[in-house]
Amino acid sequence: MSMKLFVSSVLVLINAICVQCVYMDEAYLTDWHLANIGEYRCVFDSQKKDKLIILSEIDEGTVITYLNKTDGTPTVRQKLSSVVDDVLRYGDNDIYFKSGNDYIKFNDEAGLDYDVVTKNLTSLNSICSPNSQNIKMDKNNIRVIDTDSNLELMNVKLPNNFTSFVYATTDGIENLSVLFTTGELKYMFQNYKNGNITESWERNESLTDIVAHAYVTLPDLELLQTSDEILAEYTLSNPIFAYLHRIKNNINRIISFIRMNRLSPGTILTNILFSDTVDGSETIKTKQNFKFGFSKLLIVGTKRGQISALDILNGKPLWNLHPLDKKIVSIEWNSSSKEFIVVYETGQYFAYKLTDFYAPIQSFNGSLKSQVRSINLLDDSSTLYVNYKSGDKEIVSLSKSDDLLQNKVIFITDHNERGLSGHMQNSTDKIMNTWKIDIPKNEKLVAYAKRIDEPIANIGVVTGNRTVLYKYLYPNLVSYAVVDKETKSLYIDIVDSVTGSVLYTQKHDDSVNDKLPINMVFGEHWIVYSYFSSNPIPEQKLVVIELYDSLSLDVRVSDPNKTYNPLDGIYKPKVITKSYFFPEIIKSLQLSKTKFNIASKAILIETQDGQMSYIPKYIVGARRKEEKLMTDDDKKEFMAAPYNSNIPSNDHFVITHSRQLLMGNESIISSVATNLESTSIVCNLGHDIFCTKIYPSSQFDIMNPTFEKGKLLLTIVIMSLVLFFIRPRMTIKQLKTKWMVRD
Amino acid sequence: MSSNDKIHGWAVNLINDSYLKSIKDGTSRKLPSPPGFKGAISKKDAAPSINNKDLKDFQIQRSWEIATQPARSIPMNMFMSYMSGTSLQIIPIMTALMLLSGPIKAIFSVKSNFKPLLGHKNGITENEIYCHMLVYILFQVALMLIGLHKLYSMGLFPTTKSDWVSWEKPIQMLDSLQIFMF
Repeated sequence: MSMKLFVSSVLVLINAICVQCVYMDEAYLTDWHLANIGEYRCVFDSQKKDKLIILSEIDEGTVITYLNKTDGTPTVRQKLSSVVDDVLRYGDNDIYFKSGNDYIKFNDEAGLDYDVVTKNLTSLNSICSPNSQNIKMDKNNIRVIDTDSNLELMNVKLPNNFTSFVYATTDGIENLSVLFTTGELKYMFQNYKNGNITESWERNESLTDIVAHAYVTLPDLELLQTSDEILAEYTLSNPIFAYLHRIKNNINRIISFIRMNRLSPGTILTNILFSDTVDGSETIKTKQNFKFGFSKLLIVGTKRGQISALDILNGKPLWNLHPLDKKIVSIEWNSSSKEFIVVYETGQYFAYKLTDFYAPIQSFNGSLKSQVRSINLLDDSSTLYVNYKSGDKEIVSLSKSDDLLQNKVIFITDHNERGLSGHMQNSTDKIMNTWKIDIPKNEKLVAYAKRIDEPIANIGVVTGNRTVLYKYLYPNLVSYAVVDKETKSLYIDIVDSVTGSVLYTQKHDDSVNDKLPINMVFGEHWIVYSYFSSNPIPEQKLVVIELYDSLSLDVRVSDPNKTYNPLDGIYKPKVITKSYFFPEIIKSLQLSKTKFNIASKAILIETQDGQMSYIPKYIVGARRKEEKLMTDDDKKEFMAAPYNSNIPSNDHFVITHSRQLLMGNESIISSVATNLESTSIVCNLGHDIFCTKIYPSSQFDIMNPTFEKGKLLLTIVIMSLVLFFIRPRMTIKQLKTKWMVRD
Repeated sequence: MSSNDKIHGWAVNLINDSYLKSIKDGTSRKLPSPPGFKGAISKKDAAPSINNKDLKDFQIQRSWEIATQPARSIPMNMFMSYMSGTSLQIIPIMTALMLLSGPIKAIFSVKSNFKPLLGHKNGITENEIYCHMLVYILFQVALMLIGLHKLYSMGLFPTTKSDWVSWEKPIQMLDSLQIFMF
C-alpha cells in the first residue's frame, strides 16, 4: 500500500510540475514587473564600463542599483540595511559610503567591505553632486569648458521639461553624459558627442512606494447580455417557455454570427477554428480578455500622492492624477456608482467617476474633520468608516442619497497595535463601543486577520470513506496573534467579532522571534500563520488551525432550518491543528481569490529574499497524518498525503521565477478574481509592482490551445457523410434479407 | 391448391408404402438389397425404450443442472469483480451493469430455460420443477448481488452523507445586522 501511495504522490507531484510551474513561454508574458529604483540620492560611474551606480532609499536602508548606461535598465539591485548619507572618493579608485559616522569601503567588483573604517576626512571628497570643474550649468544649458584654456568645448541645450541635474560627467574632449530630472521622479539620461545626442533614455520612478490600490473590472458587454438573457428566463414562470426562450436566443446568436461573417462559409470556418488559438490576432485576444475578466485597471496610490491606473495585464500606465502631494491612505472603488474615492492622510478626499474607464472625471471632493489613520468602505456604498489619528472613529456618508444607515444596525470590528475593539451604530446615532480586548504592556499584537467573505462551495470536507466533516462556517470571525515580549511566547486567539468572545486560543512557547515578520491569513474555516522561532532549532514555522462543527463524522451542529442571531453568541468550534517547517523566512502571506471559491485556495508567500511563491491549502492541512497511521480510506481522500513536517520550497511554485522583487516593508500582496474560476490575478505592490496570473487547481476551465478543433470538426463531417450514405443502403439491405432476395 | 394437382404420380407413389405392396410384378421386390443395406429394422432389434421412471429421473437431473448452472459462474464473477478494483472506469462499470442486467433477463425467461424438459408425454410436469426454478432464480439474484456490491464499492450509490452534502444549506445568519471587520 505504501508503494501505491508513493506512486500516487509521485503522480501528484508530476501533475503539479506539469500544470503549476511557470513555463518559459509564459514567463514574462503572464507576469510583469515594474522594477523601480526610487528617488536617486546619488549617481556615480561604475568602474565597469557602461554602468551607472545609483543609490536610493528604501525603508531604513539603501538600494544600490547598477544601471545600463545604454538603455537605462537596472541589472542588479541590492539592498543595504543602513542609510548612506554620502559617497566619498579617496584617491583615484577607493570609494567609501558614509553612513552616520561610519565609512564603508565599496568595491565595484567585490561589493561591500563590511569592515567599518575611519579615514582621515581631509582627503575625501563627495562624488554625489555633479560639480566637475569643466562642466558649467545654467538653467537648461550645459557647457563643457577646457580647464586649461577656458574655452568652450561644447554647449548643449537640454529639453524644456528639464528641472534639475542629478549627474553629469565628461572626458573633457568630446563626450558628455548627463542625467537630470524632468518632473517629479522622472529622470532623463542623455549622452552627447561633440554636441550631438548619441544616447537618450528616460526612467519614470513615480510609481514607486505604493500605499493604496483598487481593482476595477472592465465590463464585458457580451457577458452582460448573457446575464440579462438568464435574468429574463427567470421571469418566465414556465420552465418550458424559459427553455424555448433560450433556444430562440441561441438561434438568434447563430444567425448574427453567420451574418457577422457575411454569410461566407470560409470565414465562418476560420472563425470557429482559429478564434482561440495561442497566436490569435490582437482583437481576438482583447475580446477574450474581456470575456475572461482579465481586463482590469489596477489603480495605485503612492506615498507622494500620485494616483495612476495601470493595465493589469501588462502594467501599461493609462492615466495619472496628482491632486495633492500628500500620502494616500486609501483608494476605494464603488462598482455600482462607477466611482472611486481617494482619501489622503490629511483627511482630504477626491472622488472620480469612471464613466469612461480611460478618462476619470472628478465628481466631488471634500475634507474629513482631521488627519486620518485608516479608511474602509462599507459595502458597495460611499459610506466610509474612518479611523482618525486622534483615536476618534466615525461613520461618514459622502453622498446624501446613501441609505445604508437606514433601518440597519452596523457592527464594526477594528484593531490597532494595542488591541481589538467592537463598535456599533444604529440609525444616525454616534458610534458606540461594544467590546474591547486590551493587550497588556508586555505583549504586542503582531498579526491580525479577518475571515474571508466568499461564497461557500461546500459546507463539509468529504473524507476518504465518504463521510462528511462539517466545517465551522460562522462568518463573523477574526483572529489575531500576540507576542509576549518577555517570555517570547505567541498566543493565537479566534474571536467572534460581534460579541467579542474568544472562541479558541492557542499558545506557542518556543522562543518566538518578534523581530521577524509574523503573518496570518483566515480562510473559509481555517487559519494559517507563520512565525520564526528559535526553539528547538531556529526555523520558520507555518501553522494551520482548522475549525469544524464537530470532529465526529457526519455530525452537524448548526441547524440548517434556524436563522442565527449573532448577538446571541455562537457555539464554539472544534479544532485540529498542525505545524510545519518552511525553508525560507516568510515576509508576508495572502490568500488567492477566485470567483466561486471552488478552486483550491493558494497561500501566497512573499519570502524575505524577494521571491513570491504559493502553496496549495491542501498541503498545509491540519488533517494530514503520519503514513503508518493512515488507513486505506484516508488515502482515498482528495489530495491526501502523509504528514511530513517539512514543506519543501518547490521551484515550480515560485511565481516570480527569475525576477528579483524589492518590495519594502509595507508591501501589499493582493489577489483579485477573474471570470475564470481557475484563474486568479495576484499583485504585489510596494517599492516595486509585480503582477501575475496563477492557477491553483490548474487551468481546468479553459480549452487547451493545442486542442485539435479541426480534426474534431473533420471527424464529425466524415461521420455525418458516412451516415448519410450508409443509412439508406442499410435499410435496403435489411428489406432484401427479409424477402430473401440476393443482390 | 393448384400446385398439388401438378405433383407427379411417381413422387406420390414413392412415399406410399401400400403402393409397393400393390405392385403385381414382384421383380422389384426380389432384387437383392444394395451392399450394406440391412433392410427395415425389426421391432426386436430396436433399442429398449426408456421406462417412465428413468425418464423422470433423467429429467430431474437435467433440471438440477439447469438450475445450478448460474452458480458455476459465481466464483468467476466474484474473482473478476475483486480483481478489477474500485476505481471508476468505464469497463468495470459496464461489467457490473451487465452483472445486473443478465440475471434480470434470465429471471424473466426462467420458464423458457426449463422448456426443453417439459412437454414429454410421460416426463415431469411444471409443478415438479418449481423448486428448481426457485434455486435458479436464487443463483441469478446472487449474481446480481455481486454486481450491486461492485457498484456500491465503486461508490456509485448515493448512500452516504457526502453524496447529499451539496444540497445542505449552510448556517444562516440574521441579515438585518451589517457586520464589518477591519
